[in-house]
Amino acid sequence: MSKKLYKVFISHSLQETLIYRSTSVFIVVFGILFFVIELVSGMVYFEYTDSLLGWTKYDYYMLICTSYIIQCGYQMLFSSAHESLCEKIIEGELDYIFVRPVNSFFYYIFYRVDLPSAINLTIAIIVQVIIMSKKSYSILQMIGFVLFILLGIWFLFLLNQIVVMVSFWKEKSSKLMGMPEYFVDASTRPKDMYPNVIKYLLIWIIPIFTTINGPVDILKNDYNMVAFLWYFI
Amino acid sequence: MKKYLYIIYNQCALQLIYKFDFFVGLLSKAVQLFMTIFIWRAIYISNGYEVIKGYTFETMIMYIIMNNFSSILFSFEYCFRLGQMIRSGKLTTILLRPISILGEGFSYYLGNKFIYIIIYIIVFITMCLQLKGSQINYLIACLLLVIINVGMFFMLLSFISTLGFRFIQMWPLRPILTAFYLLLGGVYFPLDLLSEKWYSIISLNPFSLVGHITTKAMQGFYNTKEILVYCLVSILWAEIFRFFYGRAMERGLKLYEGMGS
Repeated sequence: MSKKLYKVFISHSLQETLIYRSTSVFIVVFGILFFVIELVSGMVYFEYTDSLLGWTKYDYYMLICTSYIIQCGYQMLFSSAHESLCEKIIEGELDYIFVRPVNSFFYYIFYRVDLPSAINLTIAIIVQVIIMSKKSYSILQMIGFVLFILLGIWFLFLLNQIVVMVSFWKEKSSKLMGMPEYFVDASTRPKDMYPNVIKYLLIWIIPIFTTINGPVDILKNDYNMVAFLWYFI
Repeated sequence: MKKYLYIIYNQCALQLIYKFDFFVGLLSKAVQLFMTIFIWRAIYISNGYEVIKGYTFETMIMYIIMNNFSSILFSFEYCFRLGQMIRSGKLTTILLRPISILGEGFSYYLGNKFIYIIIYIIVFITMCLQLKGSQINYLIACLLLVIINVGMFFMLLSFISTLGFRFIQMWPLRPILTAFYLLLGGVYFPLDLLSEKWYSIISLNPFSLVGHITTKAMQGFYNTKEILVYCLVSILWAEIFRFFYGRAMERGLKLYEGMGS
């Protein structure tokens, strides 16, 4: 898998985005709407409370924004690969990938870049920067935040990859493919509001809370180093 | 009629064959349900509220459970069926059959949701009996509202599905439709928690009718007359969607090339 080949993939993705312009606009507009709806829900919750078990309105918005950045990052880089991989496993088209003289793994994960999600990602980053500009953070916090967002994208890839692999054994498991999305949705809320059992499961078994809540915990200076170490492992 | 019953039966059998998919679907809904319950629990705990705009903690939890269950029955998978058939060219085989495309779709939808409909009816009867056991009129009005809502929601799905004639990828619609349902159907929070001005604007939207209004009706918040008014509004929405569906299908079929892309 060379840089040249990846450039070709990006070029193909760009062409595809421009050919199916209406579909691309569709993805961007609806993606933004979804983001706005999440923010509106936050506004309603905080009409009735100033602090949600220690989370202020401001922290809550940062969490929504961070989770959206991670999800858009994953969608941009890997979602097309996972969607097509599942289909290819069932249809028996994997052979076409294996026979090519390139690394099969890199070939299918980088095959397409979802460019409309890149636009949503940019918007989410801008909103995040605006929210963050209201407070000052140390350089270390900023580095940790960015690092955890990148790790979060990679973690979502790994999680979805495991789920897609189920297609080798189960023929009709489309709903299972949506499971990581539901877990991510659940962790887009402050982890402190969940009972200890759920917190334990989603920190120590599937560390999805550390993935989504983690970056904001760094900015809040309220993190668990052991959980972070476990997440790295 | 018999052919439609066969479609319902086949779809229902299909749901039972793929049990794994069925249970994973339920599990995913449970995740969403707990998320909403916990966020409300946190709000009640954080401020020591007893009642928020007429909702005690117990009423709120019941509301959220019922509304989340409704969202399984009123879900959006069907929207993408037409789009897939257009892409694969399978729509041609449906068009060639001596069958109504809308009737076939409705049977498919009912069969697909059959298990949930049964559970929904059981829960519905249990809840209504507890609340207004003595008023049979209220029960009938509630049941009528649910039946009309199923028809209205199906027409909404059918109308949205006609976008498949114009868009190649329909998947971005899924999260946004779900998000609309979550917000406008009052799944995250009862809509009457919004300011009166906003509530009056959005309370009669189709998502609210199938989610918020129906759940509150089952909790005994309305009287029979009010429920009948909501039934009429639901019928009105169904007619609007039927009209636009007809127009969109007519135009869409002119665009349809008859084979897969």
